[in-house]
Amino acid sequence: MLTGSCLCGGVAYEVDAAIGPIAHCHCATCRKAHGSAFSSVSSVPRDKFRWTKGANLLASYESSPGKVRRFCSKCGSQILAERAGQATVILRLGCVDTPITDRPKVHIWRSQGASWLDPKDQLLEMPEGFA
Amino acid sequence: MRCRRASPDPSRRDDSVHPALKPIREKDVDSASVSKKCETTEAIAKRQSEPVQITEGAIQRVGECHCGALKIIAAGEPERVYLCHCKACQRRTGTAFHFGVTYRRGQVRLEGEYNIYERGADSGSRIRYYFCPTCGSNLRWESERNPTLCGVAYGALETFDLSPTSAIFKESMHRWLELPSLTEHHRQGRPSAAS
Repeated sequence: MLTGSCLCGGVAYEVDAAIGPIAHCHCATCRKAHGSAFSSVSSVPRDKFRWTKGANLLASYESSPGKVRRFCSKCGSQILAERAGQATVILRLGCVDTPITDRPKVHIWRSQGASWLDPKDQLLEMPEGFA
Repeated sequence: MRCRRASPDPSRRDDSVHPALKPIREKDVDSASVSKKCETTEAIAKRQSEPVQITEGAIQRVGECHCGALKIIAAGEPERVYLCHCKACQRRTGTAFHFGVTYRRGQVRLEGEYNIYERGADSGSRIRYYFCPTCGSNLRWESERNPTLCGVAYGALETFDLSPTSAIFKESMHRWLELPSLTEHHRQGRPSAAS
């Protein structure tokens, strides 16, 4: 089981599944949302995911049509993203409390990424999303 | 401009978490930290004893939050460009590490509506984060430990011309995070004399 929470501790969740494949996303919207060089994310089955605390504190922003990013309205932590009807939700790994040992699989949207980072020697790199 | 403040949940107590995440004790939360006080950027700078003084002609780096409602303008060159791997930064950003650009407070201006989240750091000082209430993007932060400096979120900036030269809290860096070697690593925070 995975658990996760935001910085202020107001929002928490559980997932009855292991972490899925990890991707680093360099797209402009992830950079804006997270304020960092890229986001590190992983999908888990929607039916295995549940909020355990503070669902009323969640705020949402639709960053592109159909894609909703959920964050804590109290501390601003980005917690997950999802698309209606999809079988998975996408965890933002910074808020996962369970230690993560899996090695990430891929860098995506490198076409929009920072030049100081050159991950080609380490992981698969895609100019945009997954092929 | 409207701004709101929030404080950490005092009931969040877990000794297993990273020191930076230890909750603020009830007595440490002063009344100001939970009030809904509105401040202009100039008022923020005044409280921090350094007026906003953006020199005409200085290079400007402009950034904005995800939805575009909150903007940040930083003039001149930054003091530092760095990564932070502490668990609190991981949670706040939602990603594997924080990427910050440090400026003197007088070089930075915020435009738009923001919320403030305030917490206690393991150093004992308090840190304030300014984020957009609509999309959650953190754009600016400041610590009482460094009263003349503030941070700007790299990810918010329109240009990527800055590269990190140091990293802090290496001890909590994800082992699977494969980043280029940086010239300067600190096991925890930067020594105060160099901050």
